[in-house]
Amino acid sequence: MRLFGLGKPPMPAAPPAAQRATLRRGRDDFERDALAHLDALYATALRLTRSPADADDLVQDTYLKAHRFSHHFEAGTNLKAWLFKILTNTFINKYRRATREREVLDDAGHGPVGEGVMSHAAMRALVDPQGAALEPLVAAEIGRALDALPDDYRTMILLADVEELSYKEIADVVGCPIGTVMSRLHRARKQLQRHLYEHAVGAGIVSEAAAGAMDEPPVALEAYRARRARGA
Amino acid sequence: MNCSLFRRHVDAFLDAEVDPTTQIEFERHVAACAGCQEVLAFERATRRSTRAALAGPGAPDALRARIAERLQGAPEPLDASLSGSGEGRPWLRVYALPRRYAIPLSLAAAAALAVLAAGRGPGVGGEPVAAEAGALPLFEEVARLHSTPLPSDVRDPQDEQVLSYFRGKVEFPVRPAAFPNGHARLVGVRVSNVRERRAAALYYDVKGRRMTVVVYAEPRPGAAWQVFPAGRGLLVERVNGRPVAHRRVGGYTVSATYHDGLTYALTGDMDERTLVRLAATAQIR
Repeated sequence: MRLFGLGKPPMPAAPPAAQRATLRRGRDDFERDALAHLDALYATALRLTRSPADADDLVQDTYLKAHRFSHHFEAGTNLKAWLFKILTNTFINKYRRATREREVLDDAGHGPVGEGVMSHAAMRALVDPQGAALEPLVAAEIGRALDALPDDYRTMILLADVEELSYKEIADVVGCPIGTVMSRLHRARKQLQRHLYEHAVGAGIVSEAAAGAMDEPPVALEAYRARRARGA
Repeated sequence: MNCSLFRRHVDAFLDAEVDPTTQIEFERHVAACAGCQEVLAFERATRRSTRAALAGPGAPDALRARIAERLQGAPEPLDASLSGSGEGRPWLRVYALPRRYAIPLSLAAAAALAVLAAGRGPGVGGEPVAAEAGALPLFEEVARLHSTPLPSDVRDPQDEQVLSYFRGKVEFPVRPAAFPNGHARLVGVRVSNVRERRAAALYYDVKGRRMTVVVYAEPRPGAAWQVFPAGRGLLVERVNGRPVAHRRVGGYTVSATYHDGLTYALTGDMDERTLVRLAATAQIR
């Protein structure tokens, strides 16, 4: 090769061995970066499947798919969100045969919230004296409250409140518009709070009299901006 | 700015999802409004506690090790394989799957792709199995499960152990296939996936050669043989009165027999006739 090259720069096409080495390196990098999110993926998988064995399988499937389709991932974009997308889709395909649940939820999305938001007295009772977190007795119930949520709502809480993905990222992960993310997340949180509140009432932390007025459903921020623009 | 507006958007405000102007308006409002401060404190506390309560345990070390190992052993990613200019896996082809079988990853194109290890023989290469409505590259998956085997979960299992191992892991009872003459010995079992559904992988030793039997439920109940329409490389023949479907997939032969709505697909490091004969003589106990 050198003989024919006569001191010219290296051949334009990398020889197969070097090419493979490059691929190999890219692959190793990808795997390393992807594995950095293992704990987060596993925690979410565990919460979604409610079973360590299924969580194992789900996470493993997620990584194998990510590996198989790694060329679809654009370097520099959000790897974590991409992995979560594979995880949630795999979960839906594998563990949730029926699609009815989703349809029902989307229908509910158009109705009023009518639930969840409680009186100030109740809120005060649920928050610890430092105002930093919920009362320990209430906080201990969060896992159960989450398990009681429908899959779609559970996913919302996990992605937004535990993994702290942005609305945009969540929209990409679950494949729906940002507006849907907002309303679904809102309902998920209210339902979770409702569960915690009922637990607190049952445990005598909050008196039933403290039950308060219900809140209005969220309105689109766009509507507010439009109103503001009109000077209303 | 008023309380009702603030409370309706307290989610977006806390999630730092409102535009900077609105953010400032909200902050100004909440600074002057005790009621909204309370709402904000409650929402913030709830979120903090949620994160603390749900930030799960780390992944088990065993899982981490298993994934790392499987990724190392996994075939090259799709594009790497395809760009392998002769050196890679020239028989790998990508086909669009019928929509209802596509993995809705919505990973742009990946959603509708599946890899087929298409046969290399004349008239077989480019075999449009997956493009046929209703036909699936199931045999390719079976061959893949054999060529990249996963470690067995149970060693040298007895029939009873097999049933109990798969109970709750797959949607159907898994009875291992037995073969006459005692040539094929069950050496391990493992949960697997075929077409996104749980399947059972049974590992056999046939006179020192590996054979994998994958048991899976039909994607469409009652569709049995139509899933593998004869022709297009797939042969269906009767051996001792029993129908056996078989096809060459890459370097392997995959043969299949049916029992109680389940497919038992065999592939291994042995020749076509041996696999067809084994499929024909398989006894499901």
